[in-house]
Amino acid sequence: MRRLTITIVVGATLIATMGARTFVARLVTPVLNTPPGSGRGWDRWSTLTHGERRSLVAWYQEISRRPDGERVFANCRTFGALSAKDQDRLRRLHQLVEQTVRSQPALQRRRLLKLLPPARAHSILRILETQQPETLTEFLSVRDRNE
Amino acid sequence: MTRHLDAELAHRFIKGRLDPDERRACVTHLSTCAECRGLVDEERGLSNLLKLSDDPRHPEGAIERVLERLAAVAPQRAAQRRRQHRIAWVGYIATTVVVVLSAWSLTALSRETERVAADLGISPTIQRQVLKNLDALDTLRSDAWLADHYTTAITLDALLTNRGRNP
Repeated sequence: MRRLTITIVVGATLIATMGARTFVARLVTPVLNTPPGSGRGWDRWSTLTHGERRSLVAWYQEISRRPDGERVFANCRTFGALSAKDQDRLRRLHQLVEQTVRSQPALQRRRLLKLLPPARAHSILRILETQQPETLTEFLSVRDRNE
Repeated sequence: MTRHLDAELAHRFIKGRLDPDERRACVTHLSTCAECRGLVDEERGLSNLLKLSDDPRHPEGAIERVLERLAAVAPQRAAQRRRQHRIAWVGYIATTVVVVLSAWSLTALSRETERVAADLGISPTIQRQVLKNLDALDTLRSDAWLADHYTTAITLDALLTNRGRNP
C-alpha cells in the first residue's frame, strides 16, 4: 500500500512538474494527432508561426489533391532521409535539368515537359550530350570533385 | 518458503514449535514479507494476552489483567489504523489528482486542436493529415522542385552514374 501511494504521489508530482502543455504534447498528442509512437508532429506544429502553418496547409492541400500525392510525400521523405551531400547532388541535377529545358526552343520545351519523368531524363541527357557537351563535362567534373 | 504464513503457522512459530527447517524457511520469508511480519506481531500480542490467563502462577484476577492489557494495547492499535487510513487517503487524493489532470489535458488538447484549426480555416481532420505529413511538407517547402522533378533528377543521376562507369 505504501509503495503504491509513493508511486502515485511521485507520478502526480512529475506530471505537475512537466507542466500541462508538455504533458499534452509528449503523452497525449501522440495518441490523438500524430502517427503512433511520435509526439514530434505536434511539438513542431506548436512552434510554428501562423504564416508557416498556413504555408504548410496550402502545400498539403495542393499536393493531396493530386492523384500522385501520396507518392510525392513518400519522395519527400526519401529525399529528407538522404545525406546532405546526396541532397546537394540531386539539387544540382535539378538545376541542370531546368537550365537544359529552358535552353530549348518553345516546341521542344513543351514536348520535354509532356514526357514522363524517366523519359524526360533520357531526353535531357541526350540533349546535353549532343548540344551542350561542355556543360555536361563541367557538371560531371564538379560532381566528381565534390565526391 | 514462498507462501505466506497462516495464523496456525504463525502461532507455532512464536511458540517455537516448528522443526528447524520450517523455522528457517519462516525466518527467510519473514525477512521479505511485511504482511506476514504483521501477522506474527499480531499473534505474539494475542499470545501474550492469553498467556496471562493461562499462567498457573496467576490464577486470581487473570481476566482483569487481560482487560488491563487490552486497554493498554487498544490506543496503539487505533493509532496504527489511523495512520494506515491517512496513507490510504493520500493515495486516493493523488489518484484523483492524476485522473483530473489527465481529463483536463485531454479537454485542453481538444480545445487547442480545434482553436488552431479554426484559426487556419481548416477542419481538425485536415490539420491531423498535415501533422501526419509534416516532415514531408517541411522538406517540400524548402525544395519545391521535389513535387514535380524528383523522379527526373534521380533517373538522370542514375544515368550519369552508369555513364561514368561505362563511358
